[in-house]
Amino acid sequence: MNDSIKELEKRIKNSWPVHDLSEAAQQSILYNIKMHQNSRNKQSKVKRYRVAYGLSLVAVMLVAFILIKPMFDKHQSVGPKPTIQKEPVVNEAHPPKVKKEVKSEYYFPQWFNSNNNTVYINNNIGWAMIKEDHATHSEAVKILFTVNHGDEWKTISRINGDENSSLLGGTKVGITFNNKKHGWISIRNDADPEAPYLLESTDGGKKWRKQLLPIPDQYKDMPRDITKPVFFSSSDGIVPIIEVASSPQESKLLYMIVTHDSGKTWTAVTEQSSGNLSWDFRDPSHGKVIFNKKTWITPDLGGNWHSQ
Amino acid sequence: MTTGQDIIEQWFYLYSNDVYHFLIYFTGSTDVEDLVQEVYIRAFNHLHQFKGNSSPKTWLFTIARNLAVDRKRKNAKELTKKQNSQIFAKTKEEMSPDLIYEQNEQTTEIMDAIMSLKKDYRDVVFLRAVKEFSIAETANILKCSSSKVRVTYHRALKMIQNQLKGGEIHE
Repeated sequence: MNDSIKELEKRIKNSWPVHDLSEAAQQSILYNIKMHQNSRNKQSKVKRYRVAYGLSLVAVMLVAFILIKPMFDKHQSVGPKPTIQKEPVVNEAHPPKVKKEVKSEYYFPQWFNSNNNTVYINNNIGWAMIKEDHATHSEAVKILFTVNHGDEWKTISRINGDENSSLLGGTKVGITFNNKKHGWISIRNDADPEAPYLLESTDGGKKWRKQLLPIPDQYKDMPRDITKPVFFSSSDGIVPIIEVASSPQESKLLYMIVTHDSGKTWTAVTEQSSGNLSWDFRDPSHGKVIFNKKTWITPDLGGNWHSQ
Repeated sequence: MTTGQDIIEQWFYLYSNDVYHFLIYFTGSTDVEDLVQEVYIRAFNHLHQFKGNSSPKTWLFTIARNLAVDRKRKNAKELTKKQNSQIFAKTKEEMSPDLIYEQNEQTTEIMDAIMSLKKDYRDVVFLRAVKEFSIAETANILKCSSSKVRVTYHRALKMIQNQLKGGEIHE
C-alpha cells in the first residue's frame, strides 16, 4: 500500500467524528447487563436442580429394579450352577506387563482456524491469540487457553503496555504450539531490521521471549513477511518467510525457516528441501510440503493447511 | 476459570465505545444506548457459540449490525404507519448518517467526500479506515466476500482522493 493511501486512511480516521458513551450511560448499561446475567444464572440453577431431581429419581428406580430382579430369577433358573472363576496364575518368569501411560496424541500438522488466531494440538487443547485493541497499543494481544475445545477459555498471558511490554512491537501474525508446553508467535515488524522473528514459550504460553531467525545474506535488504510455524512431527517444522504484499495471494515464498529439533534451533533454507522435509511453493496458492511421503497443501503460503 | 460474566464485562470495557460509535454510524441516530446493551446481552446469551473463530470485537460488531438492521426495519415500518396516519414528524432515530454529520460544525472536506459516497462504500471505509478491521473481518461483519471488500475499499479511497483533488466522483 503506498504512502498516499496510508496518509488518506490516517486523515479519514482523524476526521471521523468520535462518539463515546458517557460515564453515566456506561454504568447504567453495565448495571442492566449484570441484572440480566444474574437472572439468567438463577434460571439455569433452577433448571439444573430439576435435571438433578429427575436423574436421582431414575437412579432410585434402577437400584430398586436391580435389587428385586434376582428374587424373580431364583424361581425361574433351571440351568447349571455357575462355575467359580479361578484367579489367573501369575508366572514369575513373565510377570504381567505394567500398563504404560498413554501419551497424548497431537495433530501434525496442527489445526488452525481460518483467521490464524487459534491453534489446536489435539481435540481439546488449544490457544487463541486475541487482539486487545487497546487505544494506544494496537499491537497488544492476549493469549487464551482451552482444554475443552473452546467451550471455556482462560487468559494465560498478555503482551501489552503493562505485561511483556518489551515484546509489544510488531504485528502478531499467528500462533502455533507443537505440544502442551512449546509454542511460538510469529512477528511482523517493518520497523525492526531483525524481523520477522518469533516469540517462544516453553511453559504453555505463560511466558514469552524473543527468538530471532537467521536471514540469508541475499534477503537482508529485502522487506520480509512471515506466516507462522507449522510442525509436521514433534521435531520437524517450518516457517515460510514471504515477500511483503497486501495479501498472501499476491505474495511468494522467499525462503524457508526449518527446524528438526522441535524448534530449539531454526535454519534458513533457500533450497527446496531439508532433511525429511521438502516443499514446492512455485504456485503460491498451492504450496506443497512433503513429509514422510505424505503431502500437505497450503493455499496461502502457510496460513492454512490440508492434506492432499 | 474466567466466567461468562467476567468475559462480557471485560469486552464491555474494551469495546463498548466502538460498538456505540458503530451503532450511531449505522443507524444514523445517537439514541442507541439500548442497542449497545442489547448487543452485550445477546453476546452473553450466546457466549457458548463463540469459538474464537473471529475476534470478540468482530463478533460484537456482527451482532450490532444485525440489531441495527432490525432497528432500521422496525423504524421504517413505524414510519410508514405514521405517514399513513398523516402525523409524520422527523425524529432523531429517522435521521440519516448524512444529516448527523452535516449538523456537525467540525465536518471537514474529507467527511464531505466520504458522505458523498454510496452507503456500501461508506460502510467499508468506516470499518477499514476508522475501526481498522482487516479485510476478512470487515467481510465477516458486512456479510459479503473479502474480494468485494477489497475492491470496494480501493474504489472508495480513489473516489475520496479524486474529490479532495477537486475532481468529480466517478463510479
